[in-house]
Amino acid sequence: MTSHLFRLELRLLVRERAAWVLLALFAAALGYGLWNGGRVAGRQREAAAAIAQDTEAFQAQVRQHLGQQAIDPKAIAGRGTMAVLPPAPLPLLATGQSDLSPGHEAVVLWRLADSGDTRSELENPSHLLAGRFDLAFVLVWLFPLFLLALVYDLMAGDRESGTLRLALAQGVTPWRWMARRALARSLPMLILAALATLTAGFFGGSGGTGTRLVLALAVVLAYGLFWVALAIAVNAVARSAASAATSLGAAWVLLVLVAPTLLNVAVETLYPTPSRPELVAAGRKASGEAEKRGGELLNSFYRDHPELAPPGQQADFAAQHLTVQTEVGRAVEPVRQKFDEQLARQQTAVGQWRFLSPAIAMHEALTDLAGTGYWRHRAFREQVGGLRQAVSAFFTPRIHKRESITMSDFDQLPRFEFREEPAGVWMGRVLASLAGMLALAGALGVWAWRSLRPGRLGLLSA
Amino acid sequence: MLETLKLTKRFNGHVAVNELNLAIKPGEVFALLGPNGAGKTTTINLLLGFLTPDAGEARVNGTSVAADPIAARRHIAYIPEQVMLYPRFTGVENLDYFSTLGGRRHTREELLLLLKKAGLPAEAADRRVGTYSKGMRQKVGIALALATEAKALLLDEPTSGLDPAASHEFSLLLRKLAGQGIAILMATHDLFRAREDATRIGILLDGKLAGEYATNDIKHVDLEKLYLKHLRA
Amino acid sequence: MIVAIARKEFLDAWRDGRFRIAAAVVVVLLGVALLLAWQQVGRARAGRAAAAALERENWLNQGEKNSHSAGHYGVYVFKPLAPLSVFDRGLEPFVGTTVFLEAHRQNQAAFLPAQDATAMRRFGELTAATGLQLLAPLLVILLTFGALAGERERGTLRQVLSLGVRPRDLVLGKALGLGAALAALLLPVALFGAVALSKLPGGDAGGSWVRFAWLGGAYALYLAAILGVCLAVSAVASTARAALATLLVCWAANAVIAPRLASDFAQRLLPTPKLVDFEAAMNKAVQEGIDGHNPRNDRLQAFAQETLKKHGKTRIEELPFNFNGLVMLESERMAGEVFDHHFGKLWNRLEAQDRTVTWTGLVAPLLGLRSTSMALAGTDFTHHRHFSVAAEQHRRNFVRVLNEDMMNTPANAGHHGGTAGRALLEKLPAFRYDPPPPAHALRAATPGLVVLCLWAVGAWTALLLVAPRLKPN
Repeated sequence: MTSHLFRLELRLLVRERAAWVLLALFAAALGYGLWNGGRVAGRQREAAAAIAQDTEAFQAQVRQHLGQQAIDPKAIAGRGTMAVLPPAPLPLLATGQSDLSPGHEAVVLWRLADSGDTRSELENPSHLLAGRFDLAFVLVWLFPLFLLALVYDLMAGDRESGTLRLALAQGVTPWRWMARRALARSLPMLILAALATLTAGFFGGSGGTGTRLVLALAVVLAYGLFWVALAIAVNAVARSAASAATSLGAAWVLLVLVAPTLLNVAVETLYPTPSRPELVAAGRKASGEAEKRGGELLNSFYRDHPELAPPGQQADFAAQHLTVQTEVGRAVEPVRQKFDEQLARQQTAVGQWRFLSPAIAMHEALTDLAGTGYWRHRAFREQVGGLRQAVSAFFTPRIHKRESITMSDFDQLPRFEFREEPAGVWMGRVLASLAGMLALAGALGVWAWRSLRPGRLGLLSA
Repeated sequence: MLETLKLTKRFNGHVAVNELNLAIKPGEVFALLGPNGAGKTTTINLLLGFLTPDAGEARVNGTSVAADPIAARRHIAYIPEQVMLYPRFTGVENLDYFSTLGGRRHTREELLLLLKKAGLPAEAADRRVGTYSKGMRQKVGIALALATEAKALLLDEPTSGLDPAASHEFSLLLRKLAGQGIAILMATHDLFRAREDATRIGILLDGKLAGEYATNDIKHVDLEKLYLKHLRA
Repeated sequence: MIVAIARKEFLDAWRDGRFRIAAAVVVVLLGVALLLAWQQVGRARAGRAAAAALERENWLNQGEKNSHSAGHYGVYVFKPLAPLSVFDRGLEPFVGTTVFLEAHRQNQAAFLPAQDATAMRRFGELTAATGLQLLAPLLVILLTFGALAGERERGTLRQVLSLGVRPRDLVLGKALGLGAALAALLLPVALFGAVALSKLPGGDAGGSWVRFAWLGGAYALYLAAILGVCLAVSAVASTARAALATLLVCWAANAVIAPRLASDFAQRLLPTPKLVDFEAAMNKAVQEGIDGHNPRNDRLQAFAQETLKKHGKTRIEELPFNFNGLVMLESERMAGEVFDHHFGKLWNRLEAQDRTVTWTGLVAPLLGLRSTSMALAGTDFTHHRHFSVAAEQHRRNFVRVLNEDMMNTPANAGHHGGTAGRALLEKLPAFRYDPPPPAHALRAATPGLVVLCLWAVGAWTALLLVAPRLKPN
């Protein structure tokens, strides 16, 4: 019985030409989003591969040299160690922050305290402002829009025309009737969205992506469910199809367009970051002062670390530079830390308030699953910090002591290996987003169910 | 079959239906006459459970409508003034959809037969309803009543806007249904059709039954006089 | 007649509860956006000014070193935020704030504010500009979709036309009335913006008031065009519902889909070079000449010969000045040509991309408005380029002064010139950036303004064309 009615609802849907147009447009948008995301991901993968290759070649070269003779650390310190963020696990899902946050960085011993350029690619700023037409854009922004275009009129139109009275006179409960219709009308679009998500996994993934893909699928469906539940709730009370459409349109504007920008303004007002230019200038001041005291600093350094003092106590330029640099790092560290802390606070606040709008939760979850989100890029920045320390720890004592690098040191040469965030951590965030969206959808459903009790139906307008 | 016991409904202090007592037996056609705003449609809404009464009770086949509206509706067929159907569905499809909602599945052959019984031309059954006239849509409504094997039929202004021939055809159908033992309540302005089709006539004024007559007892002319008398009283 | 109709529409609009709620939401959002931006921009401007002052101190107190070392010590300059970024942040979050000026190299502006922000930035920013660009059109739609289609549905259109009102007058009257309702709503917001601008320290830099006036004009054109389109659709649509659906689809296409699609399209049409390729090409050109057939060493050799010949000497040591300084000057000059060529090409490419996006505004007017608004607010790429060029000019000037100092210091005082004392350091002026005059902004805004004018004229022509054929039912 139910399946027969379901089929009839589907038949009603396919008789609408607008439905076909909407489905075709949505499919086209999904396809274009995937293709576009694929291009971006391809470019990033190429860049990462080129750097990895370059690094490997250099390692081989060093190894070969070491086979013949020891190397002065100063000779290879200048080349630096490349830190590369490995390609994201599901890059086709979302470009996320990957076009803005650097994906690789060279850590050079002599410039450890510098705050250099933080970009790893040339981008037209207007392109960054506009954002990419990737799958995440289609799913977060357009998916609800298209979905609502199909389900905005679940009952309001029937109420207006009078078919609702006839239908309910047959002895069907309005809730069940509307839920069935909602499912029938949203199913094609949910299937399209799910297929696109799966495609993102099969064509873009790089190992160990199964869980991510399953979660992505769940998140996409939960997001769709939320909007369908919203349409049900609005239809439970709307007097006409036009007013249902207006209300749902307004909800979309508020949740997708306005809420995230409000949240952005709120966190930036609550936890303002110090001015980056001031941080830069303060770093310069510290370095200027340290440089002037260069000799003195080095002497005190050798007093503290007599084991590192070079034979004959003859300090050279490199040793002095390193000491100055350490001092600068020490002086700037508190300001830099404050900066990072404020940023982390901002993003934590975003995480806490993401349930304000499912669009935010969805965006955060998708970028997390794609591996292009804020936290993975932050982890990369932090691990680059670790690499700086490793580089310093390896070279500094050897340069002070004027020790050469030999074959036995080869394995200890600083290398960068990105450690992914523990699965439990990102999964916790994603699951919370998922639960939040489902809870919102559930709350709307319950509310609609209560509004649809007999006597509250408002059937008299017909 | 259709019963109201001291049924009362108020809207913002105004009493729409006032302690109304009705009892319509199977095979009876009861015509509810009355001016606009007398409470005819409200009575129908109360019988359908679309409204909850403030006092009293409406019963269908012994089931209290307020207590279990869904079960009550399963016994009722309802034909509004304008039978609204899905314009993108054909007549058969609409019948299929609504009868399935009412809990009865039928094969296509059965559905076509029902439409034929309701008097819909055979060629129209597979046409989209968007092209139907009011009378044709009403016939789909009758077919729906047949399809759900309703024991009671509620009609809201069934003949308004029908041409005399269609109106006559409709009367014949109605009598046939009554002959099958269906209890029929018809709210109408049409004194002529009420006198022709109904077995009993009630005149509703301000939610109260002002007079009740068996049609066999009165002539056409007398009905109009009676009606106007009640109206002026 | 028209005035009577306009007055009725104006009052009707204000009595419509839905419009009142939506209008209140939009106005409050615009006000909040202006207020917070005023605070943020004020803080950022103060921060950058403080950083600039501190950096000047750093420069002057860098201690005694030879002039070339001072060149390597370099100086950081900070981009002052345009005053009108209170209204439209534009590209500011996505362009660098800081340029490091040093000998031998032209650096790009680094430290994008968006890199120091949460991922929420990518949803767009709440500014008065985005409010007017995205939300105000929704208000117009809400105001107009039923204006004619709704009256037709209700049957009041028949009634009005049966009184002998000319359809053209009816449509114009409605347009005027609804336009006035919108203006009554937005003018106070503009006034509030003006107050905010006047209260911003240094808010009048770069001809802010002229720019502000033009901004008002551009937004008026945009909203007028949208009003025209909406009324035309409402005049043609058979039901209010159909008009609403059509307009919402147009809005989504214009506001949500078009910006990304157009930006992608421009990138595909005119690709941005990769950073590695760009830098490699530039470094190669520095070494081998712009044409790649003129190695740097050969050129410097020839330069030495030429200099000796000019001074009638045979050995470099015989020259009356430190030849190393002259070589530095010459190689900076040569490198400068390379930088101008390569950065010029890159920036021209980015500007061409932006212009392409602007012209796609012929399909989606938002894109025309967006570039116009950013140009007038001083937050578009041409303004960023203007700043970058000014910073580079400053770099070349200060490196030249240092190299001249080196040249005039006897060679035996040190290979890289004499000691740059505080006197020399003070001789080099602090970086002072004057934002370009409104004429620059207007030049940059011209394509966008043309697009907006075409839209406004097109929309109202369409409206006047459909008006006489207004169907009563």
